[in-house]
Amino acid sequence: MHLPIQHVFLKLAAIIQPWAAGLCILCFLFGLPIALLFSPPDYQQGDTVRIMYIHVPAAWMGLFCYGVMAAGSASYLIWRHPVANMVAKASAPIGAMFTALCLLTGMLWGEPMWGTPWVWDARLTSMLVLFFLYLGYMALGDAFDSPEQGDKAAAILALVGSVNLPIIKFSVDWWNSLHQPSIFSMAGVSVDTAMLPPLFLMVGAFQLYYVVVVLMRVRAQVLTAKIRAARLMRAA
Amino acid sequence: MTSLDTVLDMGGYAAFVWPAYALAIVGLGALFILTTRSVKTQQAELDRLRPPRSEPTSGASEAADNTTGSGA
Repeated sequence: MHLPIQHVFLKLAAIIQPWAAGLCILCFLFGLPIALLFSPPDYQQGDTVRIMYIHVPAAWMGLFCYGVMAAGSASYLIWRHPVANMVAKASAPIGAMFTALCLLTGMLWGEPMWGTPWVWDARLTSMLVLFFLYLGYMALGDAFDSPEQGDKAAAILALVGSVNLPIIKFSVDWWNSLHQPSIFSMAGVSVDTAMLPPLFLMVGAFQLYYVVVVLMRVRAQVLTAKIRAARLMRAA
Repeated sequence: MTSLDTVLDMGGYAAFVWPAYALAIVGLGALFILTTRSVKTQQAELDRLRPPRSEPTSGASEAADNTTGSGA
């Protein structure tokens, strides 16, 4: 048990959490009205472009959470860092939720704009694979009798699955895709600049939401470890 | 934006735009509630197993937690 480092983490978390929560609420308070009301409709897509303010931040968060999960898993496997593993485990359900949100909002946009909610093209398929990787990671972690074995197996899966991240990112460049190209590329910004403030506010809101929830989920894991230790003490 | 109706109508795409935002609220809200609940039930279970010492402030309770925690 590495309880001291966990306590340092929890103390830091207790300082960060209220600020992150407050800023998150602020981002939503400004971001949602701008996204829904005050930003301009697209010249081609009309008001469906407002779906982008959920869809794109959710997609970025889906990738970000997986990145954290892979990095956390790597430092767990290499340095046996317990907090890194806890952060990785805490990130998985958040990433899965954002990936599902990305897929569903994409379908809601695809139906009126592409005439179909789903096509099996590279971007959509690799994003669906990301969602299944999250589910696999969470299932694998729970599939062993010994939690340590489960953690190790899940961490290896997270690392192997990280191959999917560049595939998702560059899928729209490598293959002919129905999906829109990246908003930001070497060529510049591909959307109207009036669409950037709501986009960034929603990205900020989602990112801060992640911070709040991931810290709470790590706290829950520390509590689980303490419960296990307390039960063992009682049994002894 | 001239009236509530035009806002609600979303240029004829209300059936796609509003559900997208509703899904976001449901998704983020549900995960937040589940997480808060799990922290609360775990804390309650731990308190049941290991009754907390007298805690005049939350800071003191954290400190008490700390000492027993590292001893465990």
